Amino acid sequence: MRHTIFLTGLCMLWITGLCRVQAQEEVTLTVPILFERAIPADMDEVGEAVGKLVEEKIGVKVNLIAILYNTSSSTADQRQRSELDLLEKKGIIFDVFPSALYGKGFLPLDDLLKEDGKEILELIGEERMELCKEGGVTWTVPSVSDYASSFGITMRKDLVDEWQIDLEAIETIEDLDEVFERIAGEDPEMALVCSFRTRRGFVDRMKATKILVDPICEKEEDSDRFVNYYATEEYREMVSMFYRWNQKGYMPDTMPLQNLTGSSLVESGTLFSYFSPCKPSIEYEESISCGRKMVTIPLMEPMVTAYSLKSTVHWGINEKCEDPKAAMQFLNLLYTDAELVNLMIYGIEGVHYEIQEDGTIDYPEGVTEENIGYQNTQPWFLPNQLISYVWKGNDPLVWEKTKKFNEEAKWQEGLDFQFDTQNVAKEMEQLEKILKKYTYALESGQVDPEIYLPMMLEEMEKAGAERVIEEVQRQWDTDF
Amino acid sequence: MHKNKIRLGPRSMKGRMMLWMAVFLLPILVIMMICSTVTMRSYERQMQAYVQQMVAPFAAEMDTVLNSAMRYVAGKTIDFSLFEETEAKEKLTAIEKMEKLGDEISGELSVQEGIDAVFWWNGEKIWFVQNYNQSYAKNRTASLCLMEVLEEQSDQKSFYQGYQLFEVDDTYYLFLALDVRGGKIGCWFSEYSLMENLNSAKLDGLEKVVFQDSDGNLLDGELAENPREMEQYFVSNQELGSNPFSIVALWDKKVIFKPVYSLVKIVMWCLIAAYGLFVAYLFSVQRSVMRPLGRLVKVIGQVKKGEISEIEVDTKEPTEMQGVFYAMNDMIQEVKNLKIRVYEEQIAEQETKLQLYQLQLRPHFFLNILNSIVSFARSKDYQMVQKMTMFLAGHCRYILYHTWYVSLEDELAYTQNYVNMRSIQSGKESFYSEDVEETVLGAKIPILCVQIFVENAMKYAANAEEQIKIYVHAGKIQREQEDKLYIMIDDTGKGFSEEQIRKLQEDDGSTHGTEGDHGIGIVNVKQRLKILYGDCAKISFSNNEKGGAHIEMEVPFWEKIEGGARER
Repeated sequence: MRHTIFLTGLCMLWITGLCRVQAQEEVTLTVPILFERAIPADMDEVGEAVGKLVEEKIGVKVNLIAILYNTSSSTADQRQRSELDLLEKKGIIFDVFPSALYGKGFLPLDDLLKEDGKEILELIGEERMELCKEGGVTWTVPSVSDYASSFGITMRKDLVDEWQIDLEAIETIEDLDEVFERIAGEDPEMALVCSFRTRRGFVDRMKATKILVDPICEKEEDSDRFVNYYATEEYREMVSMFYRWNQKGYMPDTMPLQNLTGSSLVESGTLFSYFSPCKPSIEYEESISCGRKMVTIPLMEPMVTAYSLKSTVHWGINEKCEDPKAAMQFLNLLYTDAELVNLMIYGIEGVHYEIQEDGTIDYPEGVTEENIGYQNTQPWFLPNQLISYVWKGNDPLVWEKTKKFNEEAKWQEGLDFQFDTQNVAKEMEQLEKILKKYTYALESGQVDPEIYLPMMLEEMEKAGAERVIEEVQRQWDTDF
Repeated sequence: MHKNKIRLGPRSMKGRMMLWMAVFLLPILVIMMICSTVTMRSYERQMQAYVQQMVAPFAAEMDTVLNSAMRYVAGKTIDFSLFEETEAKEKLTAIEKMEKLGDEISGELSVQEGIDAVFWWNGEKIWFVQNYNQSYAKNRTASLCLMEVLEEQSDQKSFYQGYQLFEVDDTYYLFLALDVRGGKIGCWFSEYSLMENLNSAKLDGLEKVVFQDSDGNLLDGELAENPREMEQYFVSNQELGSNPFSIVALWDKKVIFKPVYSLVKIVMWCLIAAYGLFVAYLFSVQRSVMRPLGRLVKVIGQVKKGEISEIEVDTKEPTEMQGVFYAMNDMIQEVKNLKIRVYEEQIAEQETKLQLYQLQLRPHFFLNILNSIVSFARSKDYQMVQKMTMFLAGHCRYILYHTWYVSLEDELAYTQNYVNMRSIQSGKESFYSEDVEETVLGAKIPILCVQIFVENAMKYAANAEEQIKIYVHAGKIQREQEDKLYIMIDDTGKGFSEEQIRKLQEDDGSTHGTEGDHGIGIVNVKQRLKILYGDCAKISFSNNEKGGAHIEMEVPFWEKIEGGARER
């Protein structure tokens, strides 16, 4: 009898152990895939294909969950938040996800990267990896595709030709003043210029090349001195020019009403140009967005800035992830496996796309934009677009050019300066609020800088702008 | 003569088969058609209810959306001053307010699904905030068209406060415009937005959904221009409860009626198979029955005409028909044989008749009697001449005025007459005795059936040394409950030889005798008995105890018809 009980207990332990081992072996990672407008009809098929591919390659099961993600408006934010909340309520927690979804709750990745993310480290490079750290810890890994940025203006090609605009004469933002002056009366119903999004200032990207330490500290060129960027003459002149443009009617009215894209205004025929990022594939991307041929003129040289590094897509692993090792293996695959990346962006070969003779891809016969079962119009959220196919119409060498663009970009001086905000945290918070209050209106030319720039600067002073600059200067002088 | 030509008519087998085929099939066909029609109609009604049930929740949802939007808009206020020229120092505040307004409306729109945009119009200009994921270009175009509609209504001083329509580039929009201080506030829905859920539900068979206004106009340019296109669809109409529109859903008939089509297909195939089998059956019947029957009729005709004497039997034909043809061949053979037998009997009869005529006439005997008369005349024995002449007259009378049948009395009288003539002629007295029942004297017997045998006996007696006695007995007996007349003729001569008896007893129908005319007469009697009585008459030849010939005849006892009417 005693032997029987003992043996039964032993068997039960063994079975439990087996189950646990079994459970450990069967890891399923939950990963989001982001879509801009609607979940594609063939999402299930593609999800299955992704799961099968990942399992074949690294023995990890993946559950791909499609969600809508659109940064076009606060409404979108609300929707996304509510959608994500709903997923959480259902008990769905993403194991691996881009930081745009959740800004926190990441697992430290340093050890995991060394073990299972070596290829990620090679792709990103030590320098960038260091810059991405916060408090000396790698919480997320940045995108390979975009880390340098440039700032430019995207114009309607047809009107450029019609109005005979000399694009080569445009090198700086100031050069646009003369251009707009000349073409002002060509189409009274059409606005001439706008931001990339109507609720953003015109020059966010350009500002980033000036402001080394957020939110206000500019390091003077060829000097180690920090100043308040918003108090500079350069800034004043720039916002004055924007206001002048507004007064002359160059801009769409009611910009603050909705956060629309400049491309949607161009598509509607009510806008000529908008400030935009500038990179090798920008003309192709904006032409598609605008529904017409566009041309982009750079207004600054490509640079790697703190802003560009921060604003690129970052991916991390949820601190609640049950199998961080498997998650890192998947992340590594996402950075390196072209088959996986193409599957997630373009769908299934032969069904959703076909490879052309020149190496680009196009719709298969009988498939159109309207009836295609799968296509992701937000490929930029994946960390390495450089290994994906190029769609027909785009430059077949776009990724090579992008890589070159990134590699040849000038690094902002002092990028590795890590400012400790601890002593001036409150002041910085106040400055952020002030900037949020004024900069959009000033940098979109909607308010008179003669009135509002002094107001802003006064408030900044009261909020402790000088103290912040002094602290930055002190730490810079100490570190550098 | 009946002609063998078979005409297709109500009495012909073929005609009757075709008639019954029509009688059998036509009602079935009619019933099938009626059943199909009734089934289809019933199914249509059911499907109408079913598809309306399918669409009803979506229609209710649309109604809810529209009503909800109406309540939302009714509760909304807009500060139109925000969109007027602002003093420079108030501009930032205006921008903030505009941002806030935009966020507020965007947030509210995230709850009001289906609304494409909220607008407000101050009589001169229109502004709008669109919902998430909308196309600005389309909404801007819609806003400009709407502005024209509002201006027109303003001119007409129209006060309708419910949902109305406007069209932009083949897309219909429902809009609501409510009067507020400063202008109008409202919202619009594109038909696609309203029907997004219905379209994305991918209801099986749903091809298209369009709106229909309260006047019954379809809000679809293509269908409005070509209403006949609707005929290719199964149409269902679902009203929006509290709004003056209805949803017209166009369903693919092939999908909606798929179960019926499948059933109809199955039934059709079954019918086709059944008709096919029936046709095959008819072919089989045609091949197995009608054709052989036709051939049978044809060959019967040929046989009748004598074109063929034997029907060819095709082993491929059904065994029953082969049996018929074999039987036909047997019958033809039997008929042939029968004909031959009949012909032979007729010939035998004719020969017998000829013989009889020959026996009746007997010129040799006739000449002998005349010679005797001449002899008596020469010898002036006129008494003998008279006697002989009387005998001869009696002989002639008997011979010439009787054919096949005579009475026994007449035959015996004639035989007596003959005996007397022969006795005189031969100069020898013959002993001839008759023992006949009174009741049978009137019986009908073939002519010369007693005289022949008496004659034969007398011919032998002519050569015999002793006097031959000839006895004739006749009477009535019963055989198998039938009256028979028996006649026995005996003589005291040397009788028949065994050879003679054997030959006389043979029933070979030969009319040739064995010894000159004697045999011929006996055979003739035999033939005539056979012809006249068939198997009902018997004749036997033997020798009696005293060694003389014994002839025994048995014939049916028939009373003689008066007047000597010819039989046969």
